[in-house]
Amino acid sequence: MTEGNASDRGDLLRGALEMLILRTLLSGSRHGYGISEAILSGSGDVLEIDEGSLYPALYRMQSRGWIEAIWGKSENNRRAKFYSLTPEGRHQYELVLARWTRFSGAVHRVVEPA
Amino acid sequence: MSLEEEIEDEIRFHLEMRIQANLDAGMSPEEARLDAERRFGDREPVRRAGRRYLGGPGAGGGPPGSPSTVAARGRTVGQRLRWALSGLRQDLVFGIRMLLRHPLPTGAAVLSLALGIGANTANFSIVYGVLLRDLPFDRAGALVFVDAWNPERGDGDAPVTWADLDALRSAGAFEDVQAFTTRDLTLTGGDRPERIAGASVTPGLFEMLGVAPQRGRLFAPDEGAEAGFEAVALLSDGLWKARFAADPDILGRTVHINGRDITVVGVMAPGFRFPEREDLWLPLGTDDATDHRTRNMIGVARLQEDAGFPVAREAAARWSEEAAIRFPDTHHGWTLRAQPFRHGFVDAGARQLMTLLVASVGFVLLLACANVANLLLARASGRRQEMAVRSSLGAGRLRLAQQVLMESAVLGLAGGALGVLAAKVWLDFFSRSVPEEMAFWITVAIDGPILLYTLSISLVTSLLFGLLPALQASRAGLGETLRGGSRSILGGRGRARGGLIIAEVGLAVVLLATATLMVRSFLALQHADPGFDDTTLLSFRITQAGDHYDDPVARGEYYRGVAERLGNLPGAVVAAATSAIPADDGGSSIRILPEGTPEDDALYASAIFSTRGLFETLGLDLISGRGFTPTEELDAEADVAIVGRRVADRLWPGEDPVGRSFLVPGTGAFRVIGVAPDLQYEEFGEDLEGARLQVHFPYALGGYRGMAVLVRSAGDPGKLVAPAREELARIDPSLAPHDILTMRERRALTTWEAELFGKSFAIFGALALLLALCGIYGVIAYSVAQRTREIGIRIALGARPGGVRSQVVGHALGLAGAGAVLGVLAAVAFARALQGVVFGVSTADPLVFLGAVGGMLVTAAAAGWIPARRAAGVDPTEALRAE
Repeated sequence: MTEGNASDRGDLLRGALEMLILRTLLSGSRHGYGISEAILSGSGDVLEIDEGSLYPALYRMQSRGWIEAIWGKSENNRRAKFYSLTPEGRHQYELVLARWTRFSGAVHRVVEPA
Repeated sequence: MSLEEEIEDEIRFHLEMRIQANLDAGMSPEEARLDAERRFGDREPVRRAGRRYLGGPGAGGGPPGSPSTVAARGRTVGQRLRWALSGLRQDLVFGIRMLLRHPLPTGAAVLSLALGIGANTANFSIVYGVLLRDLPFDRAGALVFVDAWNPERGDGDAPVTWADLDALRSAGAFEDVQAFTTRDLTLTGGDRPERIAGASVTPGLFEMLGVAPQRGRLFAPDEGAEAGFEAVALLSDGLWKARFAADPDILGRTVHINGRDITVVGVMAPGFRFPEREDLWLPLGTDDATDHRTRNMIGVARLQEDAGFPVAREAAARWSEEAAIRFPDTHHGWTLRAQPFRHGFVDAGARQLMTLLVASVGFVLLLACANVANLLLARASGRRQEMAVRSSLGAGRLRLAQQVLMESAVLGLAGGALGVLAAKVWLDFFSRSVPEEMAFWITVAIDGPILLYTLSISLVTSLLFGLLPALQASRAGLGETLRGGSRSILGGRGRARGGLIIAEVGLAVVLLATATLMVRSFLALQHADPGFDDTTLLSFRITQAGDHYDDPVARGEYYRGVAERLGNLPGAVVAAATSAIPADDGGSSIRILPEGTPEDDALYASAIFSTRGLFETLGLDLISGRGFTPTEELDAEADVAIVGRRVADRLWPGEDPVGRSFLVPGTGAFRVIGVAPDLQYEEFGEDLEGARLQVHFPYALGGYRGMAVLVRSAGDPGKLVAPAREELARIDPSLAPHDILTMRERRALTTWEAELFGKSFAIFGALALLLALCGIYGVIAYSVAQRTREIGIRIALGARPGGVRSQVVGHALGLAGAGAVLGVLAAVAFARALQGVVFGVSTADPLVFLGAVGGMLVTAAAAGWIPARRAAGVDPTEALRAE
């Protein structure tokens, strides 16, 4: 998945990635590595993407004001950039969650008719 | 650190962390590094995205949290602020979206608010213009208006004497004391004589006010002169342009004012007129600075730097006491009154009416607020789900309340913006309803301070109507909604809404009662009986000017000629000159007492001077005795008088007054030759006891230069205007009649305030009814919608539609009834404040309050009817399937 190559699948994936990032940050600020640990490996490698592709998403979300970045000290006392949610980001999460729930619900109904 | 370095550092950090994790997992250093690189993938997209999204302004817009702020240690104040602001912006966008999703209720809310805020804005701009705006004078707050009043005589706004001013000058409270008196001036030399409203001002007055001429100079201290002896004049900018075509050589030019040659020494700055809308000024002076007899001036004083109004009042009161002892014949019973300059023109009655108007439109706005709060509460119940989800997602209670308040603010501001438009319409109506030109220092406009006011009330009302829904939103916890049942919390919210309706109905009843009083007062004024037939009567004023009229005989002959010749015009029946126009002027105040009684028992009465045809012109017969003879009419020594009926009853109860005599202290004895019906002399609604005691004297005894003329017409009095003007020009082309009105027009002119207030309150009352109607409808319709299931069950169980209907209407009436009880209590108290403002109707008239309550109940029943019909038509099977 690269920037500017916004296929439908890409959009969907990107939206999911953003939702997951937002979800991860709901519980507090983390650095990029921490986020990737929480969602990429946490998803049991179902999301087959590079860890590096997390960063373009982070930068974009930062530019939209959903998250903000602050330089701080990491657990091993190294300088690291920490990301945290802005109120806007919280709101955005609720929106994408709702969209996602609707979407997945629709899929679910199609796949498993009552 | 540059952006590139920051990005590289972040990538490096990620790789280091991964390598460390791999090492911890037991990989060799080489394996760990390769695995980390593989997992991270291509770094180029990261760098590109960093440049694209985090680049500075040069790289396409600096988003929040751009590198410079990121590089800062910790969160700066600016960052926190930006954070908070971005939250607000988000709420704003979200709020607008939510509101647009329900265009109908949103539109209704914005419209109610616009009406409420519009009425308030318009009113405030009037009150601000009349009462609050800075007067265009130097340090205007320290200017004192000095006049006199005599409670015993019921004489409210009387002039003061030179002696009074002299005493104030030495009282120490004032930096400067000046005076003015308004004059009717006749300007001749053009195509035809023109009457100009002017004023005589003491030479230092304009300097004290801090106003300057645009050309020439102000009056010199030694130019002050007695009326008729002035040599110089100042023109207003308007007069200079209109009458003298903005003549650049106006200075030094001679003009003819009241038949005298007077030199123009200056033209005042554009816009300046004084004291209200006068255009021509002469220097006022006296030959006798200790004169305590001639009351003909209003004092204007400037307070000492450190003195306040209490000091001024004290000084005035001190002198009043002293003067009553030193000059008992002229100052007994009189009090010198010092008040803020503005109050000299806007009296307590007008200020009271304005306060009332402000209170009333405040009520209208409160009504609108209650409606919008209701609407938001109704919507809030629909949004419980949304709120609960958001709060479960970590949105704080404060945050949820903030969201709801933001929506309120959007509503309030939209209402305010539309309200400004409504205010403009309202002000147009207002200015059309004001027949007279307002004082030059009154500017009623929607400008900076007014808009600031509009903005503030928009926000304050947003807070008012948003608070309750916001509180409920913040309380919408997860638990409640998980319990799911819509009824579990409806009880509390229903109570809140019912309470709002009760308050709304209460306010509406107060407004309705007030409106009824004001409208009835206005109608009473319009139909009040002046005591004579005023349908075929023309009236105007004229003031003699010029040396020719220095001779009292010439003055009398002129008016006799005018009365005779106008009475002989085709279409005219009879005419008379009189010193006072009934129902407008009031006469001159005198003291009278029957012969042989001590002077202390003298009564104050109103003196009217006229030519002999006055009663014939008014269409009235004397009760007894005779009128003035042609000889008496012009005889300054004639000692005859016609007394009004009340005077006769007071002075000679039960006796025939004709042939009896009475004294006017300081003037002489008069023999009663006739008794006349009492007339309404003051304007309606301004009744003073003194004005009801009337004494008529022959013209020559007063010998005034300025008189009013009444002409009785056979048909439409308006048709006499042109012939009367022509005839007057033939009698003396140098004199200009003015204030030419039929008596009916005059009535309209003296009652315009009552009409304006009557109409305004009628509109407020109608608005209140409408808002209450919407409010009740909303609540009842909502409760019916909520109870569809219950109603369905009851109908299924055999309830009759009629029963369901009446139960719903009963609900509406119950709410309205409770509100009406509270409203009547408030209205009775509020109506007390109207005493003295309304005319011809009792402020305690139970019909007024019953009418308001009746109107309210009918409205409530109507509001409940539509939802009631809907309820009765509920299909039980549908309703039961609904949930």
